Amino acid sequence: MSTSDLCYLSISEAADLLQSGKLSPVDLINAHLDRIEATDGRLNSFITLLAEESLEAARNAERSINSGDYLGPLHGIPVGLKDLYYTKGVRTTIGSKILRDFVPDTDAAVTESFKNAGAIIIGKLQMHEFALGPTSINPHDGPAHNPWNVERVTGGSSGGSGSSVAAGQVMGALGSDTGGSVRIPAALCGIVGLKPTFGRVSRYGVYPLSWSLDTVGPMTRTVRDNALVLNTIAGHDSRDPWSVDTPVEDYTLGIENGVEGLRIGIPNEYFFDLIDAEVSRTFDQASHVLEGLGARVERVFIPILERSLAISGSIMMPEAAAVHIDHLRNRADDMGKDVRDRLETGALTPATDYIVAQQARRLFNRDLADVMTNFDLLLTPTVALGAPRIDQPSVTIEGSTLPTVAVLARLTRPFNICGFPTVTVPSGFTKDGMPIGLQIAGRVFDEATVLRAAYAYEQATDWHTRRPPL
Amino acid sequence: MAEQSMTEDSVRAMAALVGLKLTDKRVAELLPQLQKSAALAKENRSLDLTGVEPDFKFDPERL
Repeated sequence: MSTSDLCYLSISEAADLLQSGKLSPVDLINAHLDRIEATDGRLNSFITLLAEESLEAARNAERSINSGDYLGPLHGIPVGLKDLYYTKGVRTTIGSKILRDFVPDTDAAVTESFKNAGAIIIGKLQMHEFALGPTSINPHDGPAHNPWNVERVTGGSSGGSGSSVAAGQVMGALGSDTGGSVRIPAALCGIVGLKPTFGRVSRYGVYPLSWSLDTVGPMTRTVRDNALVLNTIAGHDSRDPWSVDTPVEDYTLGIENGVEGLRIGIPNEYFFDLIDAEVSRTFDQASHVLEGLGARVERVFIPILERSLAISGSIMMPEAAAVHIDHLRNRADDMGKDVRDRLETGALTPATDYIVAQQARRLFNRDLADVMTNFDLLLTPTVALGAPRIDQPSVTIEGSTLPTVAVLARLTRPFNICGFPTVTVPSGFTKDGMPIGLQIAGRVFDEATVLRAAYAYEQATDWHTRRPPL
Repeated sequence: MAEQSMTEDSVRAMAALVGLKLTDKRVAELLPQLQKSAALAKENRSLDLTGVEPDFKFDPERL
């Protein structure tokens, strides 16, 4: 098997080979290190590469597996972490200059989970500075580049996670999602990205952006792999005050059960007000695929969705400013201009505006919860257009010219407000070859149905089998 | 009392209270962004929020 073929195995395929002894973890890691060496000069996915450490871990994994101590489907699998997950003894920059030399003395809960499962952390991944932006154009590390066209953005803020998974540099990665930061890069890089229900995965040891919106999510090339990673990281953790103590399933078990009889709502409001025609056409085709598989797809009125940006923005920016208030007072010149603009705006937002937004959030959540008494899932596009160019500060959609950042995060934010589990799955390409994503949201803590629908769609199409020309 | 529009002077006053050091150029750059942020807040206030408590401790299990 060639290096490239090894790097494009799914996690579940590689796990079978590793468990049976047909594939060596050392060979698998070496193939990925070779792939990184061959491609990262063009992609800039990594902030810190852990080559020696990951080879040592692979040798340990090989010994364990050979002696019958197989830990499960992530044992020996190369993964990456967005550079805001604490890694004991390994610097964790949050994509910033200010924390360039920060070395945590503890692991994040999800870092622990990966290590306990035998996953091999091959490096720390590029991101938008402080996770506060949807492009991953980073003034300190340079931009992350999209593997489908290196002149295009990856999306953000988990841009390195998106590019590294899509390019076969790692088999899976973790991103974080406050307004779309898992789903946007996953959609723009042509992979699967899940924002679990708020409270499903511990944020202990995750550098915060916005406490009441932050979530941790897996990014993989297939839906089944996503379920495998979620199995590893989901669960209650008393160290995260908003972690919820609710049962965790094996998310691979019902994944093949199909969508027959599921009620899927397509919101009439908001999601289609500002959308590229190609994305709109692709969405219609995707909804027909699900209908063809037996789902009952209907339009649904959810007027409160129109308030999404007002609610989300009025919560996220003040919370982020509170996280960074000392940085703003003492190190503002060390921030990128876009991030500084957002944080200073948040710092100068009156407390009453923040509180009113949290009141509005409760109304929003009531309305969404009412809708979900009649529907199993909601279906929307993930991002309104394919990845724009890195040097493109504004985009034009159907005659309207808008800032790129405003367009990229528009369709993902509503599901951070209500906390619903939401996945993006590859659903096509623009005429210039950039991936398009389909967004599927479900009831709180029902990741199983969300993944089941995503899997059914994935298996009925071949978008996930395509590889970037790199 | 009627709501007053934000000005560069009001931005300077708020920044001083928060402890931010802003040059005149920064104040001018931030003013339009703060006005946009204020417009979002106004949008939220236009909802009927009578008797609605804020969702500070967001708990998806309540949904």
